[in-house]
Amino acid sequence: MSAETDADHVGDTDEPLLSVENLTVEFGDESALLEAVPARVKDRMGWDPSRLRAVDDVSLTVEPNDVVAVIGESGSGKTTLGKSAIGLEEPTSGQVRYRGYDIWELRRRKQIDDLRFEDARKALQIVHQDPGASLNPYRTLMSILKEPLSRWYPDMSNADRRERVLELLDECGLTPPLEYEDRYPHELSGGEKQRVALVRSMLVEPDLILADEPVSALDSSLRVEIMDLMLELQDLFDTSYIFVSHNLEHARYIANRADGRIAIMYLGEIVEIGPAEEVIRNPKHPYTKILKWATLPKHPDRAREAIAEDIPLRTLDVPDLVEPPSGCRFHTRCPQAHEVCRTDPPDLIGSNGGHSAACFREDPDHEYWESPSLDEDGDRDIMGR
Amino acid sequence: MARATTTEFDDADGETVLEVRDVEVTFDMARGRARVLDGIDLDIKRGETLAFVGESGSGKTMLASTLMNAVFDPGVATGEVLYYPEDGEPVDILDLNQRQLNRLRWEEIAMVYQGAMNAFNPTQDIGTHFKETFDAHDVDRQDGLERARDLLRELNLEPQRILDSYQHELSGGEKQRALLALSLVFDPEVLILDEPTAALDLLMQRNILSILYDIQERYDLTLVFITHDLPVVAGFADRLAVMYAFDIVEFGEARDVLLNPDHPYTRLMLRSTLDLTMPLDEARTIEGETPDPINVPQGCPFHPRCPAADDRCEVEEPELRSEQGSDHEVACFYPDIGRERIPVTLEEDEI
Repeated sequence: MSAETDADHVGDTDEPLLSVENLTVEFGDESALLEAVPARVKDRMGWDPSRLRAVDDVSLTVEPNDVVAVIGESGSGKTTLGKSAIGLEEPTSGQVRYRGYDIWELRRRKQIDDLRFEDARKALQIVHQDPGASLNPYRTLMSILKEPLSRWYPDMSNADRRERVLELLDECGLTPPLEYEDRYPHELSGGEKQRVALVRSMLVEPDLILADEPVSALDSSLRVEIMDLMLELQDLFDTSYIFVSHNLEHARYIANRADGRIAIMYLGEIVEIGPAEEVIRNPKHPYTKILKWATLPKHPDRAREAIAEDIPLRTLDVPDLVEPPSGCRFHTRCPQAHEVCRTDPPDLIGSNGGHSAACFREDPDHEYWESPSLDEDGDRDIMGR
Repeated sequence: MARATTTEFDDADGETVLEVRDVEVTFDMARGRARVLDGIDLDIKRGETLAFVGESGSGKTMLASTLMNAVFDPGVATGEVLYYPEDGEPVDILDLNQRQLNRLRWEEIAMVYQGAMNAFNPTQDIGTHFKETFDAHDVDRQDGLERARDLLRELNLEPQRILDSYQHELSGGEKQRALLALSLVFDPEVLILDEPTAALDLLMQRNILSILYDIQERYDLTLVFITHDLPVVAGFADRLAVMYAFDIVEFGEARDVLLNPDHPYTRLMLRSTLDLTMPLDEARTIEGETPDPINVPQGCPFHPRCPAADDRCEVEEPELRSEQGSDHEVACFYPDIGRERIPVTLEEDEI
């Protein structure tokens, strides 16, 4: 395409597109009032503003043309991980590297070697959950869509910008594009709005898009359509996606089709990661198994059997992130937790084909097996396992 | 509302709790007249779970509002919604005056609206919501609160903590359950649920479904369940009504509708619904757009999107009807062609 610049492939090409290393992101839980109180007063009064660790020591690599679906419940840190990965949330510790260069160092120094921070910024884009809220209601589609081009390609002529926008509208199924360019967001259906949001992030041909629940707000009949469009655009532009969702079905669809991975997050940690179909078919971590159990089938008989079953959790209560449980964070709810899970945090152990899980049950020689169950009635099966 | 005919109540077997007859809702708008319900006829049986499934803008929430005569201005509902209480005289809900409606709603037919997140007033504690409800229905506060506590306990909540809390102090699941308790506090016959699991986390969704499953048995409730999320009701509903373009296009036993779908729209909807065990090549999207209520296509409203449609579908609108001896109704001229052109396999590959 005409706007292709040589800045698109700078940096060390042997390095992965994006690597997240031991990333930790904390948020302060301080009210404005508390912030106004001097530290010495806080110390004397014993007021210790709590810190919330949204992401805790997470590592993840994203290659070109890759899809990683990050799955978790609210508060699992999936969106924070995604935002840090594209440089929108500063890590408390750990690093995010784009083609080998630390994004935040790059931001401070503006340029390292041939790579400018601007290039990294342009290469990492986002598509939000609610397309209705992410498109300015006062502006036409053409005006909304020209914006990123004016921002990133200031030398491009107005006519070229318009042509580029029309071309991409056409490719994204908003046809005929001439009928769309003068419309306002409220004149579009939900699916069309999300298409426009995708077009907007694709215009600058990014290397990676963080798609934060991009299909959750849509009718189920449109979800497949939008995910198919994302896959088509991936073919066209070699874009990678971090697809954040709470839904295993969506994750399976997009990650499987793109030959990508699924990562399961719980309370700020990745507890399982692996090839999409592997994680769905042979989940290793008890939490992943429970998410799979909770995903209802559409077959009426299977669904009825499923609803009649009790939820295989020790408790429904999600622990407070400010004081996460010791040992394995899932032990308070895990139906297969043993004493050792209360004290020792399990590492993410890899096995065949890059499928890893952070659970002692993965190690047949672990002391877990000798350690007494936390449940008086012993371990409970999840889906017959 | 002026009535041309006198109402006939004909619930001979006592099984029907609500009877919807030729219900139409129209809105006069600057752009023209929008028909958002188009002549609906159906019976809701006492104690059943009836689910309405359809895309946004198919009319399912409007139908639920009509069941309580709660269509907002400038909408106009015509037709009849007959309510047969377990004991007492049947009434036409669309004929009731405001005072009678105030009684009927909540005490006989209660509704849980979409978005439990926003259902409570943020400046009042949950207990106040209960008290105001008791006052509005002339129920003694102490008696009412006792009942409220029982209900909250049965929904696995600590009554006092919930009643003393403000909505921001509760989790999504707690809010949804508190709202459920509030809607059940006068022991209604019918509970209408509009997307009760939307916006909840997966595990909480499953929990709410289990709770609904339990309370239906315990309180002998008739549940009317509205959702766009098919798997949520696949195992839950006794009967299923599929809505498209402000009308019911297929209706029958839920199991039968899902395993032997007759309407091309139902078949396409099943294929567009993802499932962890389905072969992914089966997943299809439904091409085209849902119709504009001001400009619903002539003939069968689904014909512009339908792979089985022909000339007849463009001019003639199919009626909802069933084959002899079956209670599985479909509004389609060519279910056989639909079956042939839109294969659906619900059986999973082994997982």
